[in-house]
Amino acid sequence: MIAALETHGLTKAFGKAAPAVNGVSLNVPRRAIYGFLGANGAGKTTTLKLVLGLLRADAGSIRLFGQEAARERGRVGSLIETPSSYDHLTGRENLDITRILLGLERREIGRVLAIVDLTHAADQRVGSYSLGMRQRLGIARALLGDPRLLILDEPTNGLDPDGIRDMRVLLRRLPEAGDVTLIVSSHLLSEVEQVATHVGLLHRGRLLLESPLDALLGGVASVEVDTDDRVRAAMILIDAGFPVTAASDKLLVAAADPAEIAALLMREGQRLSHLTRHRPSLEGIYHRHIALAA
Amino acid sequence: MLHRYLFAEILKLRRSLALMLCVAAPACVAVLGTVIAFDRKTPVPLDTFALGGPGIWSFVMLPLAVTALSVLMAQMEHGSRNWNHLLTLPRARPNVFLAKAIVMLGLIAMMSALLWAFMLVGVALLTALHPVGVIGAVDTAQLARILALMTVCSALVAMLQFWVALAYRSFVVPLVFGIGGTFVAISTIGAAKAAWFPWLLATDVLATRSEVRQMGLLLGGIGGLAVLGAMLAHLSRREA
Repeated sequence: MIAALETHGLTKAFGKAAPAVNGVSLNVPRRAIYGFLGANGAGKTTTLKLVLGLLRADAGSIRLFGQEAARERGRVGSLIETPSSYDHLTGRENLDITRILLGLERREIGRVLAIVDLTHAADQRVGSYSLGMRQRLGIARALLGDPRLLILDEPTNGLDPDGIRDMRVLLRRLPEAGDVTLIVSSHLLSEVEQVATHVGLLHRGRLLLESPLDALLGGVASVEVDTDDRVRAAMILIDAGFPVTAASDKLLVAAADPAEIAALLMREGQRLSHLTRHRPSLEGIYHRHIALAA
Repeated sequence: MLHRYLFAEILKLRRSLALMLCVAAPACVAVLGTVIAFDRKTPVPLDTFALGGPGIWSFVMLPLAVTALSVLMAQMEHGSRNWNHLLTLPRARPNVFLAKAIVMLGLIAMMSALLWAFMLVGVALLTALHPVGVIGAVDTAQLARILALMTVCSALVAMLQFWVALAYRSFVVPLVFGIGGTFVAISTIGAAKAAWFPWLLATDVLATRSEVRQMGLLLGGIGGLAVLGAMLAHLSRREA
């Protein structure tokens, strides 16, 4: 299947500083919700600006839907950095400007306002909007023209908990509306974990990891356990052939079946105080890869 | 495609400070001239009164209005990083910059037209209400021609100012550029080479020597087009 976005060896430096983006090769499958992760300053926004043609790459190539990026950028909607808008105009007028530039019919405005649930405030001046409403307006603007690829840079930045929840619901809903691929850059790992189907991890301009989220989170089955004698329990498990690591005040055992671990320890006279299937978090995976890179 | 960008630029002016400025700046000149004329204890010569408006306009208010207008129009995009959206749209470069420049020149022409209208309102008020009356008459066609020529002459400074305003995200740089230019213009008025200074080209229209008037028109008009071309080439290749 042709990827929505492919980059090969994308590199961009500003002046004589170390490259902000260094040999990044992304592969974003169609209809994916691709979480583009990285700390502030990792190079996420620079990468996305390169994809959108706002910056010129020093090296590397970009293909959108299997074609040269320049030919396909009309199929891309974006919200980069802050939600840009004209505060003295209403939400509807803001959308009308982009509608005119894209040569779309007027009814397109109503469609995108409904998607982002902003119809009720469409005729208010944007200057009176909350940050969450501005973000939604920015997404509505990006949705004009029914783009096949939607690039949203930090869409939850600055939102309160309710705003973040609303944004999460909206992001989940977008690919359901049609053949849309979504790239969401963020440094909020827990948020990405809840919406993404694929993730890419950028660190100091380099792509450390790219994977379907399921494969990443389901890749290592483990059981978290604690007993009245943790040292003895660890020895029993190691003798039985289970890799064991200490995780703060518990033991982490590389095993798929908690019942098997429980039976083994109880047979050896251990009193269990804690037993649970351990699901790796995106945050844990993120920090492990960052530590490895360092 | 350019026509879409032009429509969009015009739509952006709704309820904008830029549009308010375009009404306020010529209104200030006309109101000031009229108030001063009302203060006269002798009959007001209408032809002198009418020419006083373009004088103040070309010397001070036009350069300042161009400075403020270019800053306000550019800040609409810089302020909330609208370039990040605009420049991702199809064939945005150089259409978006060209459309902005055309609208900017159109607004300067609109200010000139409004000044003409406001001066005629001043004439009507003076004729009707001045305690000791007025003398002579206003040549409305000549007033319109002077203001139209001033608009052409101001194209160079307008494009220089707009280029700086679009190139720098901070509004301070174009403000300093514009106010500095106006200050230099005021300081050098009367100097031999002052007629060449971009901020004073509009005043050349009022010169008695025809070669100065023609030079102002050529330098202002053709220079404005040349700077527009250079601006488009520069900004279209620039990274956002």
